[in-house]
Amino acid sequence: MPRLIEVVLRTEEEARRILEEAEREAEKILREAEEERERILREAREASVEVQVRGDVEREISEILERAKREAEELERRALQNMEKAVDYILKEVLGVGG
Amino acid sequence: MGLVAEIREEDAVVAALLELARRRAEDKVEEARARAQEIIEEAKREAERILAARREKALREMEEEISRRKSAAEVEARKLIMDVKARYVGEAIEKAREMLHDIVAGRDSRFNYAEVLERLAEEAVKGLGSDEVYLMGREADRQLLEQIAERLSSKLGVKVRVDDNPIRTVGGVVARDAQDRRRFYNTLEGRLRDVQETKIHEISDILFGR
Repeated sequence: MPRLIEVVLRTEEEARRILEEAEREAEKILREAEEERERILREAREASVEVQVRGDVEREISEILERAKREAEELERRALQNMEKAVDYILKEVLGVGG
Repeated sequence: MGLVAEIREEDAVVAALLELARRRAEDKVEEARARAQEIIEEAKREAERILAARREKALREMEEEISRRKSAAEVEARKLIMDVKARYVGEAIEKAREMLHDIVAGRDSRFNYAEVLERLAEEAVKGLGSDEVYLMGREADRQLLEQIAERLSSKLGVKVRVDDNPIRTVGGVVARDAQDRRRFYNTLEGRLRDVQETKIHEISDILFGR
């Protein structure tokens, strides 16, 4: 009987060792998974994010300015053409002969 | 039971116990592997969400930047147009200011300064609304103002006189009451200032109209 007890105790010891080893293996797997998780998330946070710049933006902006320049030139042309009429209008208003 | 049979039975029990322990150990490791896989899969999904949010933010920031730059360009464009308009309106006003000197000096045949002065004086006298009015003008206009005062006195039934003290002006008059409590300014430079302030749209329409 003492021999049987000894065998049982030894077997329990062996079973506990097997389970402890498995426990350590499981912990290692989970720790590595957590590390991998951290790495994946860090990479996602730090990765350079590039967005496609619309190619027509620069063109749109320069068109706005070009359009304004053309309009300004046209206004200048008309102003030079109508200057005498405008001065005449101002004089008549000032002199009170505007009608 | 014999010793051999007893040993066999012990071995079987030991083997069964160890087998059970190994199965539990394998289950534990498998469970950990499955959980690890879940953790990584979830991390990958989270990473995708992070990247998508960052891409969206970058896109939004870029759109805002584009919008800012377009607004700045539009402001610059409007300023360009406004500057041109202001420059030419200013030029027209300055030309008119210069021409007023010619008109007052009688060098512009289109306008009769004497008539202009009389009209401005009458407007000032009426505007003041007093029984006794003094006209103030250039020293050079004194004689003209004396004649105008006489005519306006009879025409309007108001005592109109010329102030002894002349004023510095391009032309036109200032009318005051006897006590100099009220004045009506009708000088040419004052009227030009009024025109500049109140007729800017009309002047722009003429200048920049087709």
